[in-house]
Amino acid sequence: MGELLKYLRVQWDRVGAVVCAIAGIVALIVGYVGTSGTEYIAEQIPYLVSGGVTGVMLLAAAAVLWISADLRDEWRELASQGETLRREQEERRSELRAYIDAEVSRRVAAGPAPARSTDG
Amino acid sequence: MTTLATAGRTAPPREAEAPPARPRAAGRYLTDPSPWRRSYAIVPGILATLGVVVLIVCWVQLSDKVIWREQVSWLVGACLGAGAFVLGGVLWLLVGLREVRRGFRDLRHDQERILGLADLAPVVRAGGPVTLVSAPGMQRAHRPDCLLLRGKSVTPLPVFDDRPRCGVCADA
Repeated sequence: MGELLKYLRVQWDRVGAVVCAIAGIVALIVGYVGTSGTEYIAEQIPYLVSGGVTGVMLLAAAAVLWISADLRDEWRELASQGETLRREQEERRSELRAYIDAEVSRRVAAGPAPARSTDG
Repeated sequence: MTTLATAGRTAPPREAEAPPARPRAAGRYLTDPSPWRRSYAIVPGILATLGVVVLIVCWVQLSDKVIWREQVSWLVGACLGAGAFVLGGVLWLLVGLREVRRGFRDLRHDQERILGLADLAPVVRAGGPVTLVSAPGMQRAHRPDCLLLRGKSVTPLPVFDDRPRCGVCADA
């Protein structure tokens, strides 16, 4: 139960999308039943608005919520890659610092290089 | 041919070769938990709320009417309300897509910037690919296939080594 609640909390946008989609379908069905129950246009129009238009709006809200959830996933993936990149950068930076320190120490300890050359 | 410094002189590595002391400010994708800031929700929120309110008002008004001609205007109003609601959702998604696209662009820039250090990393890690080499007693930097290196045991040079290039293999 705790796991389910945690999942619902983390995936609130997908849960909202599913709820909106179900509500939209129910609204469309109710609108259809209400509209088909009368032959007068003036009595059908309120069902068209409360059932049809509202159902379409709820389905649109479900789509928006679901795509928002996908975008949030994409954003989390970006953050994960960026964090990996930063760790790699820090690692290379420390390696490079260590190398430069060692190279400077080596050159200072070696003193002036010999003048004789065997190449070019 | 670029000569970094005079051969045989003991010189510390140039300042420019050292890594920067502080990393550049991170992209927003690293600091923000979501592509949307609070301010981004204002316009889509207003449109969606307006759409719902207009829809409810229109539905209440047209439910009271019994003549089709009197209902039409409220029906049109309800459709406009639904349109405003959908437009708010579309704006919300467009902002999110834009921010994710910017996040990828920032990540690509960060990768390019950080991978600039990758040119130096093979020098630090033994066995990595190194362009220039030298051998004991040699004062110049050579390509690994330089003729002057024949029969000599070579060692890789760091990219910021200040010795001059070999005149034989430099232009090869």
